[in-house]
Amino acid sequence: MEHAPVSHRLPAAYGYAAVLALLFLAVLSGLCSGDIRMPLSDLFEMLRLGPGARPEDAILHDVVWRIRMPRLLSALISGAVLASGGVIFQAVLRNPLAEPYTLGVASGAAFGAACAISLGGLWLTAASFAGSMGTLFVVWALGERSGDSDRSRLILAGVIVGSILGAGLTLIKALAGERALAIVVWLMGSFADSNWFDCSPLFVGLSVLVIICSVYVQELDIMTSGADGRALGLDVRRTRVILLGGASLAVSFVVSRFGVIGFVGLVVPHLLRILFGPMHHRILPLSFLGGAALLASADAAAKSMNELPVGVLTVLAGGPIFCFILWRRK
Amino acid sequence: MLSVKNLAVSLSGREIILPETMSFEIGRGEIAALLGPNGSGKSTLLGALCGLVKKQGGGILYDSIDVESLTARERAKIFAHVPQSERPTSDYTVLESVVMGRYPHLKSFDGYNRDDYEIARESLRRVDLAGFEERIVTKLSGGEAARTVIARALAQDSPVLLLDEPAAALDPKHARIIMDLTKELAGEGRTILMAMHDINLAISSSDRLIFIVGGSIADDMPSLRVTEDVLERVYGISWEIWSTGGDASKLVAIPGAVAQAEDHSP
Repeated sequence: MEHAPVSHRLPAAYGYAAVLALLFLAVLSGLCSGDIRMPLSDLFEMLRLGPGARPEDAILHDVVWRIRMPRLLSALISGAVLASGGVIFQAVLRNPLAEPYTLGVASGAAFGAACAISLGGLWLTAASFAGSMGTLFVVWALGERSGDSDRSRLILAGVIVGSILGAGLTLIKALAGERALAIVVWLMGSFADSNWFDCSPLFVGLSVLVIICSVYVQELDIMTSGADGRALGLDVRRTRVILLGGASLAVSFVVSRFGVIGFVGLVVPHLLRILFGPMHHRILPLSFLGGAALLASADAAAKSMNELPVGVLTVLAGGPIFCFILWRRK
Repeated sequence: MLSVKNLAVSLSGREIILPETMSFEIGRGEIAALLGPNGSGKSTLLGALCGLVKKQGGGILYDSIDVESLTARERAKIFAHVPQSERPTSDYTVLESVVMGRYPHLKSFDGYNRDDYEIARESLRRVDLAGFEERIVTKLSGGEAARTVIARALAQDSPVLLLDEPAAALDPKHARIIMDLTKELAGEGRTILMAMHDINLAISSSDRLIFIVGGSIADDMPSLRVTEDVLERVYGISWEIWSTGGDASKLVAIPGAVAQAEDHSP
């Protein structure tokens, strides 16, 4: 008799070794690369001095502590938020095509940003964040109207509202004249002008995700297993509100400031599940570290390629790798 | 003691379990089979007991505790439910899937510990799935998947087990194994309530038959007291019941022809 295949997963230690190595390289290249070449010895000296020092070579110190460090942290935290948000969305909505933008936070952010840019660029991040939260509210009101666990209704609401906002965005671009280019560039996502002020909301978003991921590990397992969680004692509705609401909030901090960065939230969770299995105590920590390493590496590469939009690079570089792994797995 | 009093359930405005007609009690160690035609309300009743379906009226008491007053976790510590069918949607291993039955017993911030995994392994042994721990649930046969779900319910370690057609996907050997297991569990003091279509399996495996027709209890009797008349009234076809082995301890019910024109009026 033919039996069901036995699980062949890579040990999680391999995953940690790989992402930590990538993370280390991403940090080094993020801090060394750029218009001003920075040898490792200078970098270590500036790091040793700390952010408050006033050294002789103030330019190098400013480059490290005022320009590159906030940019690196922004990319690291955004990657961690997008990847772990992707894990949560795919688990709770039980849909492999779900991503952190499924409930419309990206389309809302884009619409808000486009409105602000077309009106002169004031309050850009605030308008984008308001667009993101407003859209989430509308999608949620539409999708949860039926009460119980209707995941497809929530997804459908996200798609429809996203389409409406997409059409609105196209209209704004058409009417924005020479500002249309600024809208397009914003949409592609970039960490180019990050500063320390940008990092604080990102830290808030990251903290929200770390907390809910620590508390709801087993719940995420049950939600992805195919079992009716209610029969196992899970308060499905409350858990879903907390997980999707928390993840959407965290992600909206990222998209409202840095634009729509695709791929990370969709593909990193899939990749980790393929390699390490679906248990969330294994893939959630890996998704935080892996997402951070991936996006910081992509940003370092984007910087060295004359500031290519990082969102474009993540897809161009990561997509084929994912296709290869998918092809290798039977 | 599980006590159901005048339970009423409506789904989308349609009365599935009629008010003032659904009352019964089942003691510890008792096995009751719920029988009745398709759509009579058996699965809805099981769902209402464990909180999958909202009730509109009546009460459900377990050892005098109103289960409606309990949190979802506390309720899952009383009722373990095995659905009619469950399609695994992720590549968990059999052991990972079964250990999720321990969820109601987890404390906040805790993961599954060594004892939880040992209970999951023991549950797998009881459903004849020892050696399947590392297999992928999405690649199991229908019967293996069904037994995995039963093992998860066993791991839940609840005093009341609600089984919705537990033998429907199983071959005769494994159907027997599961039915013998329910007797073992009843011997340990658990209450078993199972919705079934196989009359013979129900007669041979349960102490009591509760017949449900159109959302109401039509009959409630010890299994060995079932008669052809009762079955005919419930299913609308004629039956022959044979006693084998010279005593009444083994009955075989054989369905015959359709006894009367079915009423298709709404």
